[in-house]
Order: sequence, then C-alpha cells, then structure tokens
Amino acid sequence: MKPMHACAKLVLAATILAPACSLAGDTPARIEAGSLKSVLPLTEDAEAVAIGEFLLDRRSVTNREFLAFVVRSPDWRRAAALPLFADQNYLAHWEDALTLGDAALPEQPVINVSWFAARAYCEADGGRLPTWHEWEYVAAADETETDARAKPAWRQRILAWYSETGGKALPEVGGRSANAWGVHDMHGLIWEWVDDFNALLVSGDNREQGGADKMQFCGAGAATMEEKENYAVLMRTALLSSLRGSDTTRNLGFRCAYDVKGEGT
Amino acid sequence: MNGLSRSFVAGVVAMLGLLGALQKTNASDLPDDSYFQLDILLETQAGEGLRLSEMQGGPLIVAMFYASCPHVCPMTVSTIRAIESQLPSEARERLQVLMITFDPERDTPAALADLAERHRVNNDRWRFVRTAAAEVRPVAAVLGIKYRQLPDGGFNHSSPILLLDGEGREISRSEKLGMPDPVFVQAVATALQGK
Repeated sequence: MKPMHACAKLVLAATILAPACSLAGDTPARIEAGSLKSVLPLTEDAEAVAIGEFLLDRRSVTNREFLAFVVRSPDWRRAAALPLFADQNYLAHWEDALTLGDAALPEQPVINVSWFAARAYCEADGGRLPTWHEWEYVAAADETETDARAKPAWRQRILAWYSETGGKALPEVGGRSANAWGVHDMHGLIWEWVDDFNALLVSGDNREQGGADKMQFCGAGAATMEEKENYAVLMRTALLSSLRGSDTTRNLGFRCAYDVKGEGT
Repeated sequence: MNGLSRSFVAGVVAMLGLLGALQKTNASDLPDDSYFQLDILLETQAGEGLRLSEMQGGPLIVAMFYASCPHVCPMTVSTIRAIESQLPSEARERLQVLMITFDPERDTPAALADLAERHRVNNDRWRFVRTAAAEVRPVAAVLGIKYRQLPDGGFNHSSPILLLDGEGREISRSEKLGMPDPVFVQAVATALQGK
C-alpha cells in the first residue's frame, strides 16, 4: 500500500483537523475488483478482462506536485533528464528547471512529461502507473454508474471534448465532478500515460511519422475494432500506442495507481 | 511477482555489488542517447550477471523474444543467423548478439541455455538474457518494441531487429523476418568494418 500521504496522516492523527486538508482529494480512490469488457480484449474470443482491486489518484498529477518531485530528484529536472528518457520538450512549459512560471499554474495537470518520468514519479510515491485496462475500467464510469459506456451521453461528452479546439489554457485538476469511483477528469482534461502504453497494438507501427503531438491515428486501425461505439476510447489507445517512452506532448500527463496491501503482484 | 525473480535479482544484485566498483564509470561516459543508459541487470544463459552497459564495444544486434514462442521468435533467431551468414567470417566473429526475453519468469538461465543449444548459436557471441520482471517494459520502451502478455502466458509483440553501435546508439532497425533485409545487412557489415 502507498505510504500514507502526509495530509492523510495528519487527518487520521487528529480527525478534527480534517478541514485543514482536502482529504477527499488527497487520498487515492479505492477501485473495487471487477471485470471489464475492454475495447482492447486480450484475445479475439476473450469476453472480459479481470481487474483486481487497486487504488488510483483522484486527480491527475499537478505541476505543483511534479515540481516537488523534481526538487527531490535532480535527475528528473528539465536539463538533467537524459534524452533517452525525456525528449527536448520535457517540462517545456515551465519557466525553468525549478520554477513553474506563468505558463504553468500549480494546480493545472502537469503535461510535457515522458512515460519514464511519469513512472519515476509514481515509483517515488510508492505507486506505479495504472495499466491500460485499469485506466479504461475507471474511465468507463460517469457520475452515477461505474460502467456508463452504453449511455450515448457518456460517449458524446468525450467526443465533444475531443472536438474542442486546442490553444485554450488547461483547467485546474478536479474541476469537474467526480465519477462513481470518486475519481475526477478521466476525460475532458488531458490524456494520461498508462504503464503498458507500448502494449496497445491497435494502430500501425508508425513511430517514424511527425511529432507526437500530431495524433497518429489511421482509419485502418479503427476498422479492425468490433465495437464502433468505443471509438471515443480507442482514440486514446491510438495516441498512446503511437508514442515512445521518451515522448512528451502538450496534452499528456498522468496519475498514479497503487497496489492494495497484501496483493501478491 | 514471484520468488524466482526475487532470488534472481537478489543474487545478481549481490554479485554486481562487487562488480559495481569496476563498472561504475561506464554509464556516465556514454552518449546521452545511448540505449545503454538504461543500465539494467541482465542474467545470461550461463547464469552470469551483467549490466547492459557492459555490452559496450559492439556492434551489437538486439532483439526481444520468449522461449515458448511458437513461430515468430524462432524466426527472429534464424533471421539474425541468416544476417550473420552473409558476413565475412572474420567480421562475423566480432558481432555480438543480445536476445532479451519478454518472459523472465519462465525463461530461466536453464531454459535460455536450452534455447541457445537448440539454435546451435555461438555462446561466446550470443547472449540470451532475462531482466528482472519490472525491467521488461522499460527495456521494450527504450528499444521501441511493443508487447503484451496474453491470458495463456504467451505474448503479442512487435519483432524488430536492432543494430547498435559500440556505445549503444541505434544505427539501424529491421522489421523484416525470414530473408534478411539487405539494407540492414549492409549496415551490420559497415559497422563491423568501422571497428
């Protein structure tokens, strides 16, 4: 289990102090075990993927949180991170290695982070990146149901977000209401790394084309998918599978997951 | 995970603790874009531990596989052997090959040695290795290889063959299995000449 958050510790030590911290936002959400009919089944005939119980950050990791990490971890500062692990746009929106500046508000989700950097952050926090299936499982929820994917409104909302034009400032994390798991912003804010981003074999192997900001999604990939209603979520897998672990983009951040204590893996 | 991987890691870590003093300078002297910057521990078919950065000096062919793989992985091995066969023998003797498994749990040194035996490779130049389970995905990420484990224990994976220079930088990559890609063979020959 995750080493307890300082805030949570304080709250547990003296529950009357709870208002001093936003407990709901700071302790990860407990995600119950279940099964998921994934847009990416493991095999053609697999009915569902089993999901074990785990914990997931309620919000995407913020600039403020990531800054605290690089203060502690000099290897992950902007100029110090090796190009093998983070490309030249790594944290490019920050003023300098240890200053957020005007273009990076503390409570905005951190973006321009590579998979290697995101992974290092989560590991330093006693966690890990969620797997794709874990991410998809939690992202299937709306405010009232843990699997709202059959609702046209769920899909429509995601597609409407995709169609928003870029260039607007990113909202702060947690600005939208939590889903049924108590988790915010699985859709509508940024795209997020998953641990097995390089397991998603939907799109062609087209790493060579263009920058990672350009979504490398081809119709052929989509056509192989059985559930066209899942298009909205498949767009994610297409983006992630087109990336390398060192890539960073202006709309890609992450959140961490944590194993539940006693789970063998 | 499992006891197997843990004991492997513990053993290798203990051994490399001793080697560490000798090898320490290696990773920091490498170019920033060297794949050897991912300085992980490997365990060979001979049960020996080595760091990825110890593969310096190359050129080096790298690919990923798993031993129980029915079709593609044997083809990767045979494709690399076919590439080798197109090199002059004195150049071939200087080529190193590193085969990294997707399946460290089942691909023990004994299983890797069996595989090397089955393919009749030169054990001095060919290393079949496993990493700690947690390192498989970072290695694949650095090499630009995609994979996922299937419920039956097998893996879906892309199968590029990579050529690295002596400092761990990628010179060439071939997705072609079966008949060797002539462009790739030429790149290997050129890299060996430059040695």
